[in-house]
Amino acid sequence: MEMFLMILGVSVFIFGLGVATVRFQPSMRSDSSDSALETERTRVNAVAPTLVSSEHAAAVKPVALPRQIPIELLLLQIENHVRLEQAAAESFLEFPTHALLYSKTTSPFVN
Amino acid sequence: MPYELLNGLSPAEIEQILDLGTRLIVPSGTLLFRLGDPADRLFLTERGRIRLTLPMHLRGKEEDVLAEERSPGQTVGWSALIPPYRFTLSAAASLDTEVIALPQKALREYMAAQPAVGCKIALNLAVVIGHRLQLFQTMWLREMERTVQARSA
Repeated sequence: MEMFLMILGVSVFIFGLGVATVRFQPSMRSDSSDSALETERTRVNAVAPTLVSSEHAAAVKPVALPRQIPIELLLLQIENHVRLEQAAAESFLEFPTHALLYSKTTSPFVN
Repeated sequence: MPYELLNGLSPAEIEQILDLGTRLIVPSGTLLFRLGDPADRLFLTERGRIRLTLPMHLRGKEEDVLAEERSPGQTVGWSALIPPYRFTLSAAASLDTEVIALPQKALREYMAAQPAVGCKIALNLAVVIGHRLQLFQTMWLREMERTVQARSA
């Protein structure tokens, strides 16, 4: 009888332990995955603005790359600039107004 | 061909002036005169196009940069009538071009001998020079405004 009661008690203990394990395991897994998710979210938030945020992109000044265009292209750009400026000056001389004096052109040297 | 320098002259007067000159064919890319050369001739553009250029230092090298272009009817090389009689720009044909080259000496003598015609030519020359002055004054002011804005920004 004592033996039977001992075996019964051990069985109940093991069963209770099993139930407790089954009940607490999901919550423990949830805690660890929430923690990992939060870490990942923090990392994404730290990186994402530099990739997708237009506000951030606007705040970053473009870096002038150290490139040199061919001299022939530079001369063509200068020639284009002179033609545009002359056309703007001719317009002003034909009809002198303050607006025409300082009218904008599409020259790359002034934009 | 209506030449801006001969505006208001009679056909006979125009004929007399043109007879003073020589018709020249200037192939595309050929230099007509260089900055600093003695301005012993004045040119009336008959056809084609003349590029007037100024030297600019770019990357340690001197390059001719476009200052103005002259089309048929327009005058090139009016330094021939203005002291110190040296060209202040270089000129080259950007297309196959034809010009009438008027020798400075012959033109001045004709203007002195025909004062009424000389006066009309001088007034036409004033219009050409005045337009150049106003054009470059406007361009200079535009550049100056941008320079000041850039430096005070």
